Amino acid sequence: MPDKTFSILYSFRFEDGRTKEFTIELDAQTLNLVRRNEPSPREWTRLQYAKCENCQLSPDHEHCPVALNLVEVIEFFSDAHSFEPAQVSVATEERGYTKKTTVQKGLSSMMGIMMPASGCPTLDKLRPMVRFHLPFSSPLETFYRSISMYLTAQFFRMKAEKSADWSLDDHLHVYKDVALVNRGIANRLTVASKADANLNAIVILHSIGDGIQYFIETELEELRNLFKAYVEE
Amino acid sequence: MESKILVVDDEEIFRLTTSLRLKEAGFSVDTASEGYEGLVKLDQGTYDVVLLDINMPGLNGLQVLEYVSANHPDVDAIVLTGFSQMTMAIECLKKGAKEFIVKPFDYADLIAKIQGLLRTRNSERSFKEYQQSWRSTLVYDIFGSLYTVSCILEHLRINAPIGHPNDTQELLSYARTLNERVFERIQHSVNLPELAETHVPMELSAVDLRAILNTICERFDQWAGDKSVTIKRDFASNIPTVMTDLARIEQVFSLIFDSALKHTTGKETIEVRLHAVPKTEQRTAGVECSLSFPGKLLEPQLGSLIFSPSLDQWKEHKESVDFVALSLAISRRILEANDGALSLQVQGSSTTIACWLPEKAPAQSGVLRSPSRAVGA
Repeated sequence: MPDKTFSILYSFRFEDGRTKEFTIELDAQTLNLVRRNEPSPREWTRLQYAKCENCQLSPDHEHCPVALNLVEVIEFFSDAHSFEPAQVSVATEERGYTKKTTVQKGLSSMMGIMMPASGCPTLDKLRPMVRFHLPFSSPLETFYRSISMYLTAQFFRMKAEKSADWSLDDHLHVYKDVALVNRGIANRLTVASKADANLNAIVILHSIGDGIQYFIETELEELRNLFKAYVEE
Repeated sequence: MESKILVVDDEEIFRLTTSLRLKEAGFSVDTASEGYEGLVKLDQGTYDVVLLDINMPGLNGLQVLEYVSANHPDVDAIVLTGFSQMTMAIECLKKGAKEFIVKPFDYADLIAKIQGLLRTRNSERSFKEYQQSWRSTLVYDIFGSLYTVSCILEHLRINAPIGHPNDTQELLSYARTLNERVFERIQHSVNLPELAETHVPMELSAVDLRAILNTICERFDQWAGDKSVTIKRDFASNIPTVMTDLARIEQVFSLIFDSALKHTTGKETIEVRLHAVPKTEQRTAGVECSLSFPGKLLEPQLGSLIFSPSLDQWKEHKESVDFVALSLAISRRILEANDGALSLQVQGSSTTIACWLPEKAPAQSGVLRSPSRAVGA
């Protein structure tokens, strides 16, 4: 067991009064998802079942780590409709958030932590955002956080005397690879899920990746004024 | 012009990203966050394609699709679905969706599907325009000319000098037979209910109807003389000018004169009247030309086919539509395109065909006009 962990608690309260909590425990150093219980493998979690076309894991891995970590969530929400209302509360060490939203948005937010923290080599590149998780973030907030993460990564590469991409050109390649993983996970959901909440949660994450390019090319410029103090110095 | 897409989906980030990608591909894009908003936008705007999420709060995608199919059949629908909704997707295809695409998808696939649908629409539209254009040419340009040729051939045949070589007679007879075969082809290809929707190409100019009728009467005097029929003229002196297409109105008068002549025999009279008609409650001031002659022009069931043909009536009686009926239907269409009217009255054993044109047509000279509804007998 890791020495230090931190938790993010997701609580769903549905219109019929039911509640459900998910505690996401993360290693403070590596941000790996910490599993307290034995994993519950299924047919659809096997690595070779609907394997992502860009999977970098060796065949030694019997199960897809992302799918394995999502089993409890997927099966709980298997019959949930995407637009079903829910009050979702998120508690971190720093603060709490509560929002009346839809199941798909709450799920998407939660999966946004669990998937990059699962040990998928492709999704590892999104893991820094897990540390600074912002539940229910708007598209603009997500895009800004993503770009900030990427530029911070380039800073560390520069410090390590490696080539650094300050133009954000290669940022898009990260999300192209992520898109293939999203599709792979979506394919596993065909057997794992009856209704559409789980799938739409993946679609939301997928849409974020698709929107990054256009955010960089269009909306990012609209933020220029906020950085006047740096640009005009 | 940019093709216009409406994206109906309850997820904001999906709408935003889809909108951005489609705009980048050259489309004009609107979005709606739920089904009812989608219906409002469809009613208020003009869209080529609608992208429809199946599962939405309120009206779901299937309900929106049913509305689109019933009220906006010219809008193509692409349904967005997840794997677990394939049964629903198939249901949507049965209810009129043109395509479905499974989320999450590659936007290149979506754009390819949209472009495919638009190409098909453009091809269908071009074909329909071509079909309508050809139909108009056939009915309004070719039919009338061939009819006149037929009358000339008949006149030549009747008036061939005695002792004229048999081969000339045979040649004329053969030419007339060929002409009649072409008539039959045209007759069978003209659907009278559809005739009401055809475009009539017209070039409007100020026309002196009195001069036109005098010319036509002189032409038909010769043919009437062949049958010992008299054409009696009663033209008022104060005939106002009308705005019409000279060639088309000549065509109308020629067809009507010929129909009248076909049903008139020796020593009978065709009375031609031309007079100004003052304004009434139903009509503006205009000019009316009428032909009265003894004889029954049409079988009763054909009258309704000429003036208000339903598809069922057409299917029931189309085999009995003859050249006279077709001529009158075409004449009526041409007059209506000019905001005029054709009427047919049978009193006892006498028939009167009347053509009415407004004194001042609303369109400017040289502008092609769209058709108006019938004012029947």
